[in-house]
Amino acid sequence: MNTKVGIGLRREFVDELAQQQQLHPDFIELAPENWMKMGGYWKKKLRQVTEKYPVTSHGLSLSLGSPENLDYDFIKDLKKFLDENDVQIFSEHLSYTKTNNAHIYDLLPIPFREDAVKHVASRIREAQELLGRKIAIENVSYYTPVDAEMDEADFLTNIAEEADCNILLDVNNVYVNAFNHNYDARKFISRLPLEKVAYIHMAGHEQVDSDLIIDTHSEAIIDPVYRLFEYTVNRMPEVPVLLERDFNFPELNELQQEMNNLRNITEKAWRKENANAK
Amino acid sequence: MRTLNNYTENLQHRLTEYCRTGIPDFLPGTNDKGMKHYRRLSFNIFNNTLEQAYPITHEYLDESEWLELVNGFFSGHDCQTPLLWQMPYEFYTYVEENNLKIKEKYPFLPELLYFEWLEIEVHTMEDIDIEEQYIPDKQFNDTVPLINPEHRLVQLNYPLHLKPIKEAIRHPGQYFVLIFRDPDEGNVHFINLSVVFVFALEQLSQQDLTIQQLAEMISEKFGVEDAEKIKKHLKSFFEDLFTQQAMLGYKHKK
Repeated sequence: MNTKVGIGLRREFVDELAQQQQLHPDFIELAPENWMKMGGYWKKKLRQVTEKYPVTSHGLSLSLGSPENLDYDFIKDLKKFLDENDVQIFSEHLSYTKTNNAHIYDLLPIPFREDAVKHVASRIREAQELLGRKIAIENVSYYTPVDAEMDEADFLTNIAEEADCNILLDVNNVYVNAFNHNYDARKFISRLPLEKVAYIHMAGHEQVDSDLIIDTHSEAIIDPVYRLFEYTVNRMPEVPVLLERDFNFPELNELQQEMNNLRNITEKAWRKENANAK
Repeated sequence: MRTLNNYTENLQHRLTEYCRTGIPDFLPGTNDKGMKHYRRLSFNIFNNTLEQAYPITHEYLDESEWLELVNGFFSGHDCQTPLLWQMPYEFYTYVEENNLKIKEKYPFLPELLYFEWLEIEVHTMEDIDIEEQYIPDKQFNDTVPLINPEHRLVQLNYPLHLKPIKEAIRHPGQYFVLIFRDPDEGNVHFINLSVVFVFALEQLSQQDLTIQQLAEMISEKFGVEDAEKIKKHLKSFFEDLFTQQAMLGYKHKK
């Protein structure tokens, strides 16, 4: 699945993807929780799409950062879903969505603390073992730290190393966090173990205040994020790249154009890399 | 071996509690603006999902009543499902099982939520494979009607499947509804049933019965002597179910 550009599957354009008229991704990504345990109309639609494209999967509710035990019943169902759909990369957020035995379905920031590194890494290792595959953990956008002992780059790096997992690098999230927390996005990226990055996400965002950007996935990717993406891919080996768009959908040709932009940047960077390797 | 300190665990619980209740909690090392964003975003996830699942209820209630209900659910109920699309079912059971003041004003509220949830449930329920051989046709003698398994048979106290909500609540009574998913398009349909046909469908769900046998059982149960007339009505009923795809055809009796 190298040098591929995909798109996140949304119900709003599932028919278009099945018909392959305006959108031509190399693969699709789906959130298992939005499709699991469903039959009928949506199962048929999902099958029409998964028969045509390779599939990656981006989890929402595994809640790798929760204090409590993993949800073993859910993991069993998740594994079945990933196997049935021949999922090639499985990723999850480095966050938590559940505490005190209650889901809240939002991606909350894990405190960047030493004990949390060990705790979350051990949960990731256990989840990987149960799922029978590596997980790529995503750097999430966060809007406040919580009594941090280290910065985000160290937190992410330490967990990825201790858990022996992969990283899903969301370049837009790096941009958003760098803006909101006033740090240098390029320096952040250069500090990461880029050899562990197995997958990249790209998306648009919304600036809601002079000092606050929200990671909405509701706008087109802006030029500074393209430039950060170019900076990133020039420093790492080929991996698949995904365009996320979850709301405020434009004309489909605009989404295709964004995928083309991403493809052009990666081909330039990784063609050069391949030539050097020869 | 436990690796997370109580302190860190407590920070995580407190952030979640703040999101659920909106009651300010000054967590160390946080910023107020970011905290408020998490409260807003997590509440919106619940509110938007429930609005989409329960459009009739949402439109019927005043906005303040709706928001109070959603707030009460978000702060007071521990959601168990990891699948967001199933969370609205927990909302229905929360309203059904708890002694909420709003139910005094709107005693039909749990049933309205149940009715709206049923449409989601039948639309999305997992496919049920038919392992038996069957004849996809209208009528065969000595064979058993095969009902589309992707259905729910329910009793309602208001005709929510027949009338708009404001009218339905003025006609309390006993209503029986077959809710099913058509196999081609996956659309959900509602059929109003008489108690006799409910009895017939319930019997069929328990054992293989021919129309003749069903007619005899109905005759005995309801004290109707003319079994032939019942048989005629049953044939017409099953023909109608077949046409609407609530019935798949006939199978041979085991």
